[in-house]
This record gives sequence, C-alpha cells and structure tokens, in this order.
Amino acid sequence: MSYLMFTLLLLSLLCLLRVLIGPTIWDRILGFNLFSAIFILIILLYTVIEDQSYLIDVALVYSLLGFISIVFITRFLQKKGDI
Amino acid sequence: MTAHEIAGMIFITIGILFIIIGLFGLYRYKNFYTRASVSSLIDSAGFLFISVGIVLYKGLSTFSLKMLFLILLTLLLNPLASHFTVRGAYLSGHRPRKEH
Repeated sequence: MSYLMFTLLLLSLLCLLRVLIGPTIWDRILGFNLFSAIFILIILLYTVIEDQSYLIDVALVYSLLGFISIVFITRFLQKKGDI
Repeated sequence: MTAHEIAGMIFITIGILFIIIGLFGLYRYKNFYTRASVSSLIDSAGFLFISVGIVLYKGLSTFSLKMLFLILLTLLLNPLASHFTVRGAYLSGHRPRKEH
C-alpha cells in the first residue's frame, strides 16, 4: 500500500513538471489542478495506511480550497486583472 | 488478503492506470485544449476508481461513509474546475495554433 503512495507521488511530480514547462499560463493552472487532485488521493491513501479517519476532513477541505482557488484564478486571468 | 481487500487493490491499480493515461495525454498533445480534455480523465475516472478502491479496501464503516461523501463532492467539483479553466482560456482569447 505504501508503494502505491510512492507511485502517486511520482505522478504528482509529473504534473508539477507541466506547471514548470507549460508555455502558457493556462497549462500551469491545468497542472496545478491535476496536482491538487492527485495530492488528495495521496492523503486518502495515507489515511488507509495510518487508519486515522480524521484525515478525510483534511482531504475534503483541501479539495474545496483547491476548487475555490481555481475558480478565482481563472476569473482573475479571464478578466485580465479587474474582477 | 480477504476478498474485498483484493477487489480494492484491483480498483486502485485501475485508477492508477487511468492517471497514467491522463498524464500521457498531458505531455502528448501540443495545444492546450486537447491537453485539458485528456487530462480531465485524472480528475474524474482516476479519482473515482482509487477512492472506490479505498472504500472497498476498508469495508463498510463510518470511514467509508465519509469517503462516499468526499467522492460525491469531488466528482461534482473537479470537472467544474477543469471546465472553468478551459472556459477562461477560451474567453480570454487563447487560440491554439493550427497543427499541420
């Protein structure tokens, strides 16, 4: 089970690579969105290993914050600065 | 390894396969829109399979009840987030170059 978490960590680093490379800023937002989705899975796998059920609330709050941040970043970029 | 743990492991490996396919699409295509459409596979299918695999792995309990709530919420939010990204890119004038 822990090696599954390790492979997910490698895959999330690949998403971060897209954030570094991405020619346009929209590729960077896409990479960040995927990175947060995969990181929620890493938190969930960690709750299975450690058998602590309070960590699911951490993953819940993190997915909500990730969604809110994506919404406002794209809104900010779409309106080119004046929301 | 009981039956539901094996089923959970199978689901988790299928989810990881979906994530690998999404990541392959992320680097295969050149313009942003095909890249975004392929990589939304990670948000929906990869997340769904891995979390359902975790619920199967742990069996039915209060743990899996919270997990099901998280699955429902994230299945609602993740596609919406990728929709916002692509919509913002299109409306702000990001046009893909014509691929020959």
